[in-house]
Amino acid sequence: MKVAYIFATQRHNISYVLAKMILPQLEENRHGVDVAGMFFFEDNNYVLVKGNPIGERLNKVAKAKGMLLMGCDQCCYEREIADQLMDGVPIGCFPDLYKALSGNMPDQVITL
Amino acid sequence: MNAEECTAGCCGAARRRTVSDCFDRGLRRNRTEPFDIRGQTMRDANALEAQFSLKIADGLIEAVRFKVTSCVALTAYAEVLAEEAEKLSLTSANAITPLALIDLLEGVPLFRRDRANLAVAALRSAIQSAFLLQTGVMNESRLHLRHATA
Repeated sequence: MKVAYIFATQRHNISYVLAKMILPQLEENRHGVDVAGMFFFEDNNYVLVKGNPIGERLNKVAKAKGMLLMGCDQCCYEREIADQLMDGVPIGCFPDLYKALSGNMPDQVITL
Repeated sequence: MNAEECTAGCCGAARRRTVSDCFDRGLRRNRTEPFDIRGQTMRDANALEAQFSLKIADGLIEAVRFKVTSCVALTAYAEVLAEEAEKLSLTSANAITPLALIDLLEGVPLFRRDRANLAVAALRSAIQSAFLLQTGVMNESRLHLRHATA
């Protein structure tokens, strides 16, 4: 099965669910499903900023597995980080996300 | 510093020229009815569209409106362009280049800066319409209409 994750809520999502659950499992190839992509809303986009330790690990996995990482463009512009994301990590809105995933369509979209 | 003096984003009093603020202002301008002097609806390779309209008074651009696809970078560039063009002559407004527009708005990633070309091309089309209306003559060499990227 192939999934896509949408990080929509903030609280403990990136530092806990992503950094301590999903990411280690992906790094150890034991997540159980293929991840087509991840899309980030609101403050979750800070993980995509160049130099973020969680983001850099995630980007390494994403490159190795061909996984899409994309930040919400409005969220990034609002936080003035749109031009500070890791190399190769795009920003976009829903049409960009759908287009980017269309060549690697997930079976399920998981909103966290 | 007290709150009345503060021009930072926290107090929201100043018209900041960030992408996010320009997008917000641009969305409002985007919903207004176009003026009578309208340019062509320009399209780019990403299927984004932009059309500008102008209100002319005493030979100057008194007000600018636009209808653009709701892309953040395009809307923000269009808003900056509209703010810059207001109170300018047609010739001066026509001289605003995409590169100048890009310089006016920091924070847009490299791969989104092509939106400035579309915005400038659309404004120049409206200026062309205004110029035609004023003189009845197309002066393309003066307006550099075929070189929006210049």
